[in-house]
Amino acid sequence: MIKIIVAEDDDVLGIAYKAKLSRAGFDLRLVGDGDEAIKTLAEFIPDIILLDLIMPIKDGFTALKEIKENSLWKDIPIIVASNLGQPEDIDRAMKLGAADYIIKSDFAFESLIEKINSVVSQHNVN
Amino acid sequence: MLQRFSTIRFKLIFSFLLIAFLSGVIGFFTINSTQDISNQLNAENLEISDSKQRILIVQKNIARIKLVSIGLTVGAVIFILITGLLISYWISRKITNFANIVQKLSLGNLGENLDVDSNDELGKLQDALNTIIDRLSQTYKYLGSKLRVKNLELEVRLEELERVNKSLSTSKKSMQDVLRQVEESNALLSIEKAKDDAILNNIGEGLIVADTNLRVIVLNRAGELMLGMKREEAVGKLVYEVYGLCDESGNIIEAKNRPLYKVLQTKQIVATSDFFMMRKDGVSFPILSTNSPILINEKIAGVISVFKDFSKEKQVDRMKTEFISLASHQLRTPLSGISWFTDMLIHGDAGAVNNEQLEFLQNIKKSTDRMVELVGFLLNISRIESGHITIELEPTDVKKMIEDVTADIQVSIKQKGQSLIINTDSKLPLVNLDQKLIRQVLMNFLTNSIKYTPKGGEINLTAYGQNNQLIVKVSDTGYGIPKAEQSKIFQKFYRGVNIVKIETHGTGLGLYLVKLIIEATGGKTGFESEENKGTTFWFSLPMTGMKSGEKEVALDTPSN
Repeated sequence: MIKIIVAEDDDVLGIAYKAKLSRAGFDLRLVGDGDEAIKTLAEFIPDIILLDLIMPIKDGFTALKEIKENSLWKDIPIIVASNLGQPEDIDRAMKLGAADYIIKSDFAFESLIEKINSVVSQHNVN
Repeated sequence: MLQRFSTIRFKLIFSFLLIAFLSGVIGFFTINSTQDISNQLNAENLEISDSKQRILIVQKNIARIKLVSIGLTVGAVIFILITGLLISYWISRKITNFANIVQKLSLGNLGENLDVDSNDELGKLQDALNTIIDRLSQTYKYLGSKLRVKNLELEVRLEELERVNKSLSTSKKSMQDVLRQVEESNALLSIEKAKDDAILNNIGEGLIVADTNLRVIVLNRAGELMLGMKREEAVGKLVYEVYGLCDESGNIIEAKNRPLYKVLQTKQIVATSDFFMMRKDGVSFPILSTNSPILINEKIAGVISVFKDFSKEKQVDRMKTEFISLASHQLRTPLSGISWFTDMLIHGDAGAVNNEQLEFLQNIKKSTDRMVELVGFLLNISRIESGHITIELEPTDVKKMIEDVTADIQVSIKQKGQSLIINTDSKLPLVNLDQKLIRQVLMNFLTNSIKYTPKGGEINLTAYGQNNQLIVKVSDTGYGIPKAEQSKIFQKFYRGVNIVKIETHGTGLGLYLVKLIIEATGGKTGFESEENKGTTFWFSLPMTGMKSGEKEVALDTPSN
C-alpha cells in the first residue's frame, strides 16, 4: 500500500483527491497546508508527497525546501501539483528538488494514479 | 640829382632858403642903407654947408630905404603868402587826394589808383599805396575767385547734403514704419509667448528642450517639480548634469545611450518606458518619456523630451498583472475541481453512467476545457502585454518539436477524418527558440486549421530554412478568411464572420497571442487565404535565435 501525503488547501480538490486515491488503495493523509504536511511527516513517512504551492500558512515552495533539507525526508519524491504554471514557477520547483510538476487545471485526473506510480517506481529504481 | 630836386623836402628847404635869402637881401639892403646913413651922419669933418647936403643924402637914403623896405616888405609878404599858399595848396591837394583814395580803400573800393605825378616822398608814398592797392586788389580778386570756387563747391555739397537729407528722411520714415511693425510683432510675440508659457507650464508632463549640444534651453513647471530644481538652475547645463537615468536593475545609462543623444544621432523619435530618472537630490522614480528631434528644414535644431512620472502607472500595471495572475490562478482552482470530478464521473469512479449521462458529462468537460484554455490565454496575454514573459531560449530540434506537438492533435484530426502531412527539412540546424511559446504558436495554427476545415480536409505543415530564417507554414483546405476580414484577423477577440456560425466556440485570442509571441521574439507572422479554398498561416524566426529576455513588448495595438 503506497503511503502518500497530499497537501491541498482547496476543500473541493481535497475531496477529489480523497475519492480517487482512497479508492485506489493508497494510504492517504490529506492536509490543508504546508505547515501541517511537515507536522505529519514527523510521524508518517510516505512513499510520495503531492504538494500544492499556494497555501495559506506555509506555502509549497517553503515546505518543499524544508523537506528536502531534512535528512529524514529528503529522499521522499515530491510531485508539485499547482495551478501556477509559468516557466519560472516550474523552474523554481524543480530546482528545489521536485520530482515532477503538474498543472492541475490542465491535468487529466484519471491519469493521476498512473503518474504517482510512475514517479514512485522511478524513484525506487534510482 | 633831379630826384633830389623833386622831393618835398628839397622843395620846402628851397622855399625856406629863398625866404631866408630874400630876408637876407632885405636885411642886407637895410643894413647897407642904414650903414650908409650912419656913415653920412658919422662924418667927422662936418661942414655946415656940407651938412645940408648930407642931410639931403640922408633924406634921400631914408626915402630910398623906406621905399625899398616897403617894396621888399610888400614883395616879401606877397611872395611868402603866395609861396605859402602854393605850398600848402600843393601839399594839401596831394594829401587830400591821397586821403580820398585811402578813404575809398577803407571803404573797400580798390578800383582807383593814385596818379603818380612826382618822384618825391609823396610820390613814393603814392607808389607804395598804389602797390598796396594793386596787391589788395589782386588779393581780393584772388580771394574772390577762390571764394567763388569755394561757393560753387559748397553749393554742390549743399545739393548733395540736401539729397542725402531727403533720402535720410525717407529712410527714417521707413525705419519708423519698420519699428512700428516690429513693435506690433513684438506685442504679438509676447502674447504668443505668454500663451506658450501658459501651455507649457500647465501641462502635466515635464518638458525639457535642449540644443544640439544637449544643453538645456527650456524647462517647464512640471519638469521643475519632477527634477527637483528650478529652471534657472537647469538652463545652460548639459542634460547629463541635470538628471541621470538608470534601468530597472540600477545600471546607469551612459551618455551615448541616453535617449536624447540617440535622437540627435538618428533624428528619430525615441520613446522609453523602462528607465528611472535619477534626480540630483538622490530621489529616483520610473519615467515614461518621448524624445523627439526639432527639425527645421530637415536639419536638427534641438531636441525635446516630454516625460512623466510613471510610478503610478507601473504600480497599476504591476497590480494588474498580479490581479490577472491571481485571478487566473483563482479561476483555475474551481475549474480543476469541475474538471476532475467530471473526469471521475466519466471514468465511472462513482458508478457506471448511462450514455446520456456520459454525453452530458462530456459536454461539461468540453466547456470546462474551453474555460481552462481561455484562462490560460488570458494569463499569457496579460503577461506578455505587461512585459513579464520571460523568453527562454534553447537550441531546439525543430523536427522533434513538431512531432511532439502534432502527436497531441492526432485525436482531433482523426475525429474529423482529416489528414495531416508534415514536411520538415532534415537539414534544418538547431534553432534557438523558446519551446513553450513556439509550441503554443504551432498548436494554435494547427488547431485553427483543424477547426476551420471541414471533415475530410487536408492540413499541410512545412518547416524549412531560408535566408537565415526558420519558416513554418500550416496550410489547410478550409473555409478561408474573407477579404473583408483579413485585416482584423489578428485582433484580440476577433473571430471571422464566416466561421462563427460553423464553429461556435473559439476565444478569438489564439491568433492575437501568436502575434504577440512572434513579435516579442523578433519574428514575423502572416497568412494567405481565399474564401472556401483554404488558408496558409506562417511564421518566421531568425535562425540566429529569437530576441531573448526582452522586456519591452508592444502593448495591445489595433493590428494590421
